This record gives sequence, C-alpha cells and structure tokens, in this order.
Amino acid sequence: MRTIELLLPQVFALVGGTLAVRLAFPAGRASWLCALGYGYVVGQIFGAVGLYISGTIGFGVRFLPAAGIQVALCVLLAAVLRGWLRRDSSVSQAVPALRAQGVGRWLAIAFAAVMLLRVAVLGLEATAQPLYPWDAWQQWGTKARVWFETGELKRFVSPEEWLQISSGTGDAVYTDANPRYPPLVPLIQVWSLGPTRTWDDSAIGLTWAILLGALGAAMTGQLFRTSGYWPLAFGAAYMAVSLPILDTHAALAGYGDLPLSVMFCLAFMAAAVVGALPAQREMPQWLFSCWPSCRSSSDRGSSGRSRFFPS
Amino acid sequence: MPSGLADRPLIRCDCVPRRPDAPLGILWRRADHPDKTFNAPIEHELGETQLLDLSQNHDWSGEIVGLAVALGGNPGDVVLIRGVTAQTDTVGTRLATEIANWAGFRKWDGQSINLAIVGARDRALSPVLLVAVGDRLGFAGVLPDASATIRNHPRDRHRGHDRVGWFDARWQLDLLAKYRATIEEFGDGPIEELWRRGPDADIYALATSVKRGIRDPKQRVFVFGDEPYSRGRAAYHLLPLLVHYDAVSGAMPSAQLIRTGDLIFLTWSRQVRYDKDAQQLIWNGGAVRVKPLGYIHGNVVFKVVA
Repeated sequence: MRTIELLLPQVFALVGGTLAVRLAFPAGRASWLCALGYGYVVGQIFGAVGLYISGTIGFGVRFLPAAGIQVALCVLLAAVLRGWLRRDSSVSQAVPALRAQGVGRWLAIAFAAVMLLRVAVLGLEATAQPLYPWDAWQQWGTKARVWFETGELKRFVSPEEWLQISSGTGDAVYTDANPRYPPLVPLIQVWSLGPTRTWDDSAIGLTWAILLGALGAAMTGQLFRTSGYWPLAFGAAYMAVSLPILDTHAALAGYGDLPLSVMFCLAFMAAAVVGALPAQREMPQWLFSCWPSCRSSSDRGSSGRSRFFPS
Repeated sequence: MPSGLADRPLIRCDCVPRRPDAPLGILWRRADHPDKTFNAPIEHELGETQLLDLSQNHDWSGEIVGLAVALGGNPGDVVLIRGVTAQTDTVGTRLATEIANWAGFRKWDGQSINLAIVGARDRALSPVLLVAVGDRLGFAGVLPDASATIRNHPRDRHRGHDRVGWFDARWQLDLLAKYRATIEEFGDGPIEELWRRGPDADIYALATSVKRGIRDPKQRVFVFGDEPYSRGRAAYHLLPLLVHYDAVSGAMPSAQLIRTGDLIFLTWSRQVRYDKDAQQLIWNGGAVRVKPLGYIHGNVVFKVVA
C-alpha cells in the first residue's frame, strides 16, 4: 500500500505532464520521448505549485487537493499552448530521419540500455538512505519536513527573528540554515511523498533519479529532432546523463542543483529549437554575459519568499 | 617503535571515531624532546580518514619514540583503530597512493556532492576528471555540426564513443560499489531503521524519545552544540517542534530569552557547562535552572524549570 502511495505522485507527474505536453504540441513537434522528459518536469512543478496553492487557500499542504490542482493546471497548459501554437508556424519541423544500420543500430540500443541501467542504479541508491548531503537536510528538507508534517506552509525566519516572534503568542515560525530559500524544491520533496503520513526522506530520492531520466529522454528527443540520427541522439544524451556530477546529485538526492539544472537544460534546448538563442559564433559571448545574472540570481537569500522558483 | 619512522612521513590511520564530528589527531614524542608531545590533526569524515602528510612538518624528525592516536571529545566517546601505517615520501609512493586513490572504490562521503574542493588534497581536479571533461567538451564542440557531419561523412559517425565507454565503465562500477556500501551500512528496512543505522543514530534516538513525550505542538526546543553536524542533525530530527539553533555560527541565545518549560537539547560543547549541584546550565549568555530529561552518548536533553 505504501509503495502505491509513493508511486502516485510519480504517476501523476509523468502521465499528467506528458499528456499535457503531447496534447499541447501538434504532431511532429514533440516526439513521445520529448513529451516524457518535458512532461515529467512539468508534472513535478505543477505538483509543487498545487501544494503551494492548496496550502495558501486553506486546503492544507496535502496531496489530494494538490493533485486536483495539478491536473487542472496540466489541462490548462495543454489548452493554452495548443491554441497559441495553432497560429504559430515559426517552429521548424524536424530534419528527416537517417536510418541507423549495423554498428549504428547497436550503438543506439547500447546507449539506451546503459542510460536505463544508470538511472535504475541511481534510483536504488537514492532511495537506500535518508537525506545525506548537508544542504539537503539543513535548508531544503527542513522546510519540506515542517510543511509535510504540519500540513501548513509555516514561515521560516532567521534565528534572531525566531527568538523575537516565538516569544509571543502568534503563529509558529521555524528557522534553518537558509530560511529565505524559495519553496519550489521543498514542495517537490513534499509532493514526492504523495498521500503518505510519515516523513520518509529516503523516498524523496526517487524523484531526483527520475528527473535525471527525464533529462535523458528530453535530450534524446531534441537531439533526434535536430540530427535525425538515433545513435547520435542517444549517445549525446547518455554522455550528459552519465556525467559524474549529475549522477552524484541524483544519488545523493535533496539539493536544488539537479532539478534546476534539468529545468534550465530543457529550457535551453527548447529555446535552441525555436531559434531563440544567438548564433553559434556568438554563443560563447552570450553564455559569458549570462554569468553575472546567474550569479546574482543564485543569491537566494536576498530574493525574499515571494519568489517561487530558485535560480 | 620501529626505527627510522621520521623518514616515513605519509601516515594512514585506519580509524573510525564513533562520533562523526569528534576531532582526531596523531601524537608523537621524540628522543631529543622526551617530555614534549607533538601533534597533528587527522582529517576525517563519516568514518573515512584522509592520508596525513607530515613531510613538511618539522616536528616529524629525529628519532620518534612514541606514537598515539588521540580523540577529542567527552567521556564515552570511542574510536576504533584498525591500524596505522607510515610510508616513505617518494615519487613512487605518491604515485602509487594517487593511483590507488583514483582506482579505489569508496562509499559516499560528505564532500562527494561537490565537483572539486580547492585545497582538499584528494578533491582537487584530478587528471582523470580533466581528461573526461576535455573529452566531453570536444564532443560538445562538434555537436552543433553533428547533423551535417553524419550526413556528409558517414565514416565519422561513430568516432570517439570507445573512449567515453572506458571512463563510464569505471564510474558505473564505482556507483555499484557505492550502492553496495550503502546497503551494508543502512540495510533495507523502513525509514526509522535507516535513521537508527545512520552516523547520527544517538541524536536520532534521543530526539525521537523527546518528541514522543510532547503533546504541545508549540513546544520550543533550543539546540546547543559546538559541532555544526550534531546540532544540525538534532534540529532536523526534532522537527516539527519549534526548534531554535544557529546552523552557521552556532551562537547561543541569551538566557533571558529562554523561559520555563522550554527544552534544551545539548550536544557536545565547550561553551556550555552543567552544574549538577545547582542544577543549572551555564554559558556565556547566562544561566538557567534545568532538569535533565534524557541522555544518550554525550547528548543531553534538559527542561528549563522555575
């Protein structure tokens, strides 16, 4: 029973998000692989948004009302994007596919197999131990645990503010290593526990491993769309998914880095496909110019609680 | 004591302190200063000690006549010493150590999540990592033209895959070894069992017993402790009670801000003293009257009384 409860949020994220992305984009623009990868991420974010809305409007930080909101958001996204894209013909069609034969075919199969093996091993590792790396239980897991166990979006403040506020008779407040970090990552952690009632921080790892798998699926889909050659698409996606630093963040789940990397990477690929990125020769300067804004926006402590997304 | 020990400055202590944040060090005496004890800290994290390099330590010279492993902490702390080895500082030894370090499979540690740590001996950018990064950057460089390449140059379609495969096979084996080590350490039981088998098991056990006896959801708990790991884990396991702790500096509040009925969860600390006769907890912020509620391996919970 508990296993089913823990799989529910994953199924909602995967099915809801995938159907939304697939329905949103006309045939040919998003393959099933792209829809799976992008859809899972969309489903997770909408799950977290669902919890946030549910907690804000008084239904509590609970899975069932949040799941209802998540489904509604998926339907809304599909409808809005479908209507919008029907009038937009600027997105280029995929290049014609090249037939992979002989070595190429076996390479594609091998890359797909080792990618699946990697995600499976990381999934086993990620769910085999409680939250392990420091930031996971010092600043992300603290919020998730309080919101999960109390069912309310309790406020986090600095230790000094805590002393002032908790002396009074007002609402309960909490403190941790970085009280001003935004709520997306903790709410993804809460969403990962589905309708269960016991705080189980080892189960959160499943989401982190599947997020890495979603990156692999989306990257394979996008690369096949632009190259038309399965061995190249699977090979390049495998190279990304097998990067030790990404694998480590999936195995030692709970940091915000992996979810954010996956989101940014998916956005970057989508922008590249629709031609929203600068020309290739200008790319290094463009990336370099992005660096200061990336650094300043990663100063999460100064951004306040109003922002939902960490940068 | 073996002779010529000073010529072997690379010390490997296979030691595991029970308390993960207990300071560990090596002590030694020399024949020319028999009354003086020299020392050097041994870096360790979650049961794994680092190689201690004393080649630049001028005190590691002459005839070493005594050697000891020291553990800092409080009564009841223990350290398991499996052995201490000393090696000569030669290019061959260093190379063999580095190769063994790169090739050895080891379990996760607190720094695994970081790509590179400037200044950490075994976490600096290793040649393996540099080659792997270079290889992948090279691949990324050709990726934008890949579509044209595979159409115009069919023979080049699968070039370079073999190199990547070697690196990744090594990493895959490492991941499997890490998973096996994790299962050996934590088992495969429910989450309570995983916490009981973790490095902070004592803190978890005490925090759980405290929570079990509390009915008021607004119960305030103050966590005092010098070690960031211990006070952070105590605070985490005490949630969702209203826990106060300073994760970064470990600063403790003034006693005036603590009121009757509050709990104080004390992990190892040099700043806080318990006066048993006066039943007072004393620190530089003041003193409060307390009643001990529970104790496990150096971790104590007090209730503040009038």
